[in-house]
Amino acid sequence: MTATAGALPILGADRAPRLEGERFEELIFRVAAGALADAGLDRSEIDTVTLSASDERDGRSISSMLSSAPAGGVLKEVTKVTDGSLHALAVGAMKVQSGLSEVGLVVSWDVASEADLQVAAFTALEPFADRPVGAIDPAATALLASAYLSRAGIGVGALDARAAQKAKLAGATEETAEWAAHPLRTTHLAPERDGAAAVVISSPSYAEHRAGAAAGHLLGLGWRLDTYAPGERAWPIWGPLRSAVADALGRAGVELDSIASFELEDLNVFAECMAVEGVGLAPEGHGFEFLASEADPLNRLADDGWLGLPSMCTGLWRLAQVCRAEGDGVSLIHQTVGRGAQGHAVAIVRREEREAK
Amino acid sequence: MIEAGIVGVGETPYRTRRTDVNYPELVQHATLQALEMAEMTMGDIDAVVYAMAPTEFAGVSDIDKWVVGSIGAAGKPWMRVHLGGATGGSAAAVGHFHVASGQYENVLVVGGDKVAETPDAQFILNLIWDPFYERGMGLNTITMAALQTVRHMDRYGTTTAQLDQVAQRAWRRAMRNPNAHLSGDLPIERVRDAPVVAWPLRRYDCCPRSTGAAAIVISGQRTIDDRRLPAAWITGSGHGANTVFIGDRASPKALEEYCDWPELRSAAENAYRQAGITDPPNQIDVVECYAPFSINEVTGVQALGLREAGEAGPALERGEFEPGSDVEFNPSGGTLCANPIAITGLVRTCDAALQILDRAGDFQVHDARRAVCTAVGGSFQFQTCMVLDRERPEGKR
Repeated sequence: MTATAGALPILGADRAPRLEGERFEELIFRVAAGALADAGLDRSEIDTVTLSASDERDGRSISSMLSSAPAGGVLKEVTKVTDGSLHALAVGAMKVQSGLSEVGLVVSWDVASEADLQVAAFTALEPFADRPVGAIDPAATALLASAYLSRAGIGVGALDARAAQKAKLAGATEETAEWAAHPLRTTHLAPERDGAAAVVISSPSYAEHRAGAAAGHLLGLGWRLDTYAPGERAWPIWGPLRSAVADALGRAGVELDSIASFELEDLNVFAECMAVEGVGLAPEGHGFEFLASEADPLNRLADDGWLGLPSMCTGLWRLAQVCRAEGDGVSLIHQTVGRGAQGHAVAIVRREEREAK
Repeated sequence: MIEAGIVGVGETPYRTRRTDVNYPELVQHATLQALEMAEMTMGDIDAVVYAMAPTEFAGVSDIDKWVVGSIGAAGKPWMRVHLGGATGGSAAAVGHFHVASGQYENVLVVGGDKVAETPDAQFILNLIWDPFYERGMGLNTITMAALQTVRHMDRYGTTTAQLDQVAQRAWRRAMRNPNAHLSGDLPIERVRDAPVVAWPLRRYDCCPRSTGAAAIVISGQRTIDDRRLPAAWITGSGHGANTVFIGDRASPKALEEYCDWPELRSAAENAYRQAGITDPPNQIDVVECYAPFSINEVTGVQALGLREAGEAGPALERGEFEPGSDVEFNPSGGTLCANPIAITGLVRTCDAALQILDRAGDFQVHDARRAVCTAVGGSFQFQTCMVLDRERPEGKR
């Protein structure tokens, strides 16, 4: 991952929405098997499986008990993180860099339709001060958005305009806008759907000694977490994202200017605005202005959030799409974590034209 | 690989309840202890790995996100590992990846659990099973261990008298460990005649559910050298995993035998290979094995290669791993005497590191130079094993 240690080959990738009537184990198996097939590998050839998912969103406790086997983790080395899919990628990558893994699968999924997300979100609030207030998302995000609009001196219309732009790009039908939590309307929030994503990563030496070409290379990763209470976060609140981007770019040995595509988190239009500012595409207070301009380079290779993405694995989902896109170039992929985007993870990936190799 | 070692250890006492501290405060106590031993502040810590298994016990989901500010980690790289009971061991391994990869120099691995916040842990632990095939059978972590015990008794002649000895000795060893939740000099009749929980397991065959927190600081060789820190060098680290379904590990066509604890054997083989261990009984001084039930000290001795199959029970009955032996097994009292579920694997890592650092107090093993610590989770399906050495590994690994 470090520039000196060399980039890590991404041998294969896959992502898919859940099919009607599909069990979550079947979804995970299908996508993990798809990534292995894309890599031209058999399960017996991998040594490690790294998982990312949420018990609460899966609607079951220790969901890895049931999911690790369909993800490929029988008689393999397995671990799991709960933050987001790019965190799992980081664990898998660091294990390879440590020399403790040669080739492994990273698998993430989200089957939130199985859970009552409101209940899950309430139980995530600490019980003394936050739970009685009940500031779960989107209310927590709305509080931050309200503060942002006030500080930047812009109105709710900026959010409406971006939401309309997103809906149009996604080909969505126009909906009646209701308040979700002021200043966020229901139309400002991306739809969610169940799905899974998986990638196969390896050591450079492993990739050299196999026949197939890599789909891409993982150049750098960064992840940071802010403090718990939204009211305690320092402005600009995208500070941890800026740090994560700096970590990832530094390890990749590339400058922001050389990024060809930005695949940024857009669970809601405010999160997207914070992402473009945090990454450094727009100055503080000018995120919506940037998004309204024609310069918008967001989500060109991967799905826009308004098409509906599985929240836990948007990062790996988009990474899989980037690796399977035509052409070459360097992409920055971003995923948020937690209430009001408490945390961020960033991956820098170079995709490659497999035919050319 | 960048060589790495544990330079700081922090543990709170393990008790049924801690009404004097809230969850972040509990974790803060362990963090400060670990930092103090490492002669560091949070400013020296580059990244945090958080150990937290199911959050239903503590009653706040994603509870780690609540802790970040209280330990001064806001803005730092942070991730939570959750692998059921194996969480603590896996978090220590992930912390090791952070440093061994060269990405980070000083990493805090920390976690805590307040299991008494839930009225019935076993009800929650019934919900971990497949809802169609297994949940309705009444499986929980105790009944799954009882099934393993019966199978071990059938295959290897293990007796309840051997298990009684295991429990009695664990409680006695724990009398030297001030952090232990349970300890005492139990008359063997009291152990033998205790109420049955799930036959053949009786009360003292089963671990408690505890509240507490634990932390370690893992540093790279540069920091260890520059600051001249005593270190428990991490020389081996392995994971093992299997299917959740117990029946698939106990049928005539099973790839592995459930009662032999093959996942631990696999994780240990990986860790031993990295550490150069070829003769475990003669190359290991102390083991902190995550053995939540008395049977697991028997199967653990077997899976870790300390005795052949069928020999572990009689060896434990004879007291062959007691204080003063060539290999001491769970000198802290082990999981039978303290079990803060989300971090029990990290507790094993802490107690093993304390032995190598010569900081284990009254349960210190004389001249402990190599320790092995383990963790187990799920239906005995997730496993970790780590080897810690007093001597710095030589040469490029």
